[in-house]
Amino acid sequence: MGTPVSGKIPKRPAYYVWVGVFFLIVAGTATALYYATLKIDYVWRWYRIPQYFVFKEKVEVRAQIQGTVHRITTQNDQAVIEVKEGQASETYRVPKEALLVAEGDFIYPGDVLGSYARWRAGILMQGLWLTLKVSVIAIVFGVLIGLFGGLARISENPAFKWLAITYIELIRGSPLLVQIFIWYFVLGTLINTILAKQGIVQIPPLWFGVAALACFAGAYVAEIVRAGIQSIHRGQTEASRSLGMTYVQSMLHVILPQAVRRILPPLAGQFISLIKDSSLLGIIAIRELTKATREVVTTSLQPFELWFLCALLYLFLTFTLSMLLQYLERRHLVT
Amino acid sequence: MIDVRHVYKTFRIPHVVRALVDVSLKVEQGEVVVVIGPSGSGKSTLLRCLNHLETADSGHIFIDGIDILDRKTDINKVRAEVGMVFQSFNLFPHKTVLENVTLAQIVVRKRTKAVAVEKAMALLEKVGIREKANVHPDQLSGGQQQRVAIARALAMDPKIMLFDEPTSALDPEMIGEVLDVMKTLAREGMTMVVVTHEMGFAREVADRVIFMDEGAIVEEGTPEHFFKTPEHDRTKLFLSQIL
Ligand SMILES: Nc1ncnc2c1ncn2[C@@H]1O[C@H](COP(=O)(O)OP(=O)(O)OP(=O)(O)O)[C@@H](O)[C@H]1O
Ligand SMILES: [Mg+2]
Repeated sequence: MGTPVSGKIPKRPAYYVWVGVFFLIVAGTATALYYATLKIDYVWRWYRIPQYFVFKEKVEVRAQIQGTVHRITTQNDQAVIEVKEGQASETYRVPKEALLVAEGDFIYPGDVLGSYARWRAGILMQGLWLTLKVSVIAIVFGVLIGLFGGLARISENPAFKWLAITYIELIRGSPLLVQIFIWYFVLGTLINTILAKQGIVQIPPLWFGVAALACFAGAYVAEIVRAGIQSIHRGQTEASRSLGMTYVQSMLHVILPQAVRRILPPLAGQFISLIKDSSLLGIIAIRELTKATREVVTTSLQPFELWFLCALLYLFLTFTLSMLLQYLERRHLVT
Repeated sequence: MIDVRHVYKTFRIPHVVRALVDVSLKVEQGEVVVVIGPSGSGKSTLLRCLNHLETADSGHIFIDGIDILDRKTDINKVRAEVGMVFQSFNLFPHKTVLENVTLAQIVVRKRTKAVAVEKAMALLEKVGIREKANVHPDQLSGGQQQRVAIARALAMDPKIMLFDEPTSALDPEMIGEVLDVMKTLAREGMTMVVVTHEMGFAREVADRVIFMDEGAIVEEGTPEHFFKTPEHDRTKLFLSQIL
């Protein structure tokens, strides 16, 4: 047998046949779906979708008082219009190009002094942004909770250990949806009622949603952290402690840096779950991506495009995150 | 330097093992004591009790006059003065050789990086692997790793060095290089407690040899006494098996 020169093993013809089969099945499924929608007279209108991301809003600056345009000066790109009537005077600002009046014009209340269009983020963009924000905050707190939860879980102190076990088992043993309800309807009501009695401002639902997600993720992260730390040979702890390091020093300089390498891959999976789970927050009036999509569907009546798009947007978020973590992992392995 | 008085240690998990039974032992400054005995006789347990990696159940252990079983003792301070070398090296795999030797100096002794590096390089020179300072431990042979581990312990300027079978995990051709480093240390006057099966080392550098069996010290004496005129039957049996 001849030894292959390059590292790649040459593929047999059958291999390419099966590659073809793969693409055929994918394309076939898409086409079948498309024809099925035509059968029920669904009209695809992708062109209607972008407006839910960004749209142009028309802004009109109107005079509040009656009088003459006394003076127009320019500051940077803005025109400053001074309207005067006797002692009363008001100033308005509009972009230079949008100016519709000249010095000396007589103005009635409600007259348009300038009009221009500006880009605004649509409801889907806002939803995407909120999903990202909620996920990032929940991930940060989830990691913190999980780190301390994991350390408590392997602690020899029964108070810490049993608290950690109770927390982890409670969270892992009940549905996230129920936990969100408890955070919002039980804890939320309790906290906000007490705050109201003290005359302090209420906490918006967003934060109960974030808390639910963070606590949920924290329990799983705690188990990941525990497994990661326990996978490091105890000789490492013994060596560092025998040199006089404290528990904290040994953890920080010896155990955790090694554990992080083993923790990162399962942690990435947990983060991705968290982003997807944030779609449940719609039920407590947080307008994240899924709820935003549902609202757009009711106004636009284009459910097919929108739900596919919604899924793609989640895919975009999770894919970006897993790329980011893979990069971190690789960089960490090199150093 | 080391004063062990009537120490007992029993493991209860997974089953009850009396690992140390009424062990008393004195080691003077600059003395080299070699501990021998069959597997499971409690040699490692004794050594690990000396720096509190295991907690003795009862008795007293004084290290340089400090009672380490006293709850008020800051054990980290004592450990910084007692170096330990393990059978399995236990180098930090995520750090380079140099970082292995500087880490505790910086973190525990609060030395500056420059001082720590200088000290580390001198010690790596001493154990003969200066040129490997910037590689990771997994690129070293077992013998080299163990010499780094010795340098790591020495970097703390310990008053006592504990060795738990430092050559048992090594290929035969590498045992010599590690023993040579230990012999140099002994000659320089380091106080050492060494658990080993290297009888040549015991004969050459030990001031005293201790034979343990079933958690107790059975016989104690000079190497001369041990290898020529052992008293107890168990000692004779053990020596006949090992020599
Ligand atoms: N952490 C532990 N938990 C339970 N039992 C232990 C533990 N450490 C040691 N033992 C037991 O205590 C006894 C003494 O063990 P030790 O490791 O001190 O023996 P040793 O003389 O060092 O043996 P070896 O030559 O095999 O290293 C053994 O029976 C061992 O099984
Ligand atoms: Mg042992």
